[in-house]
Amino acid sequence: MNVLGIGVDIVEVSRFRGLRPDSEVVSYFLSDEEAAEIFRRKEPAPALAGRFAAKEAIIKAVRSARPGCNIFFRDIDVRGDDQGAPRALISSEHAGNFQILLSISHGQEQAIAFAMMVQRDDADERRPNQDFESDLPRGA
Amino acid sequence: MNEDQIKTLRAIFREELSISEEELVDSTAYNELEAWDSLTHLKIVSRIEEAFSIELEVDDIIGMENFGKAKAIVGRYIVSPS
Repeated sequence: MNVLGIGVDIVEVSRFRGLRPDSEVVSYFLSDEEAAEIFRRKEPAPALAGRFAAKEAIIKAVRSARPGCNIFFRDIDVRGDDQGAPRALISSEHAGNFQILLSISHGQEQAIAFAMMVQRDDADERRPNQDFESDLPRGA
Repeated sequence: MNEDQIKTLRAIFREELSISEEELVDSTAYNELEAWDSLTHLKIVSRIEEAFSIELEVDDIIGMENFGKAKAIVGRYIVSPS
């Protein structure tokens, strides 16, 4: 496995309490689909914190491999697969011959995420949908 | 930017970073203060866009590495009333 970059992030869950689904801050780091999924939960703050940490970790991983890259939160879509494991999709603008391996965990107080950017093996069919069209490419 | 606009921008940064008027200088930088992390950065951006009715481009959001740069970037978006 050829590792291109890594990133880790930890955030306080309490900082995400009280955020509303229609707030500007939420719109910066979640797609409409992600926001709808998270705000369906009775207590969205831990998931919000986890999703934020995941995207921050991915940004760090990608920027460590590609200095100067302007990938931002809305270029990343994190969704659960059939087993509930997080899968990261990267906007077509920033996608390439790589894949992101991602792990997220949270407790009541903190959420943490680790991301690894690895060279994609063309024969690897585990994550065929690596890119997507960002629905809000701010300023693009 | 005129004086009122700079005052508004300073208030946003001071409130979000919980620092005094004296502590906020042009070289006050992202990640230099514990309070200025990525989430706070998004909150600052959100408040700037609301206060000045502008929409910052991603490169500019990323480029606001310190208060001085933020001031210059925001200044490019707003037109001072004559």
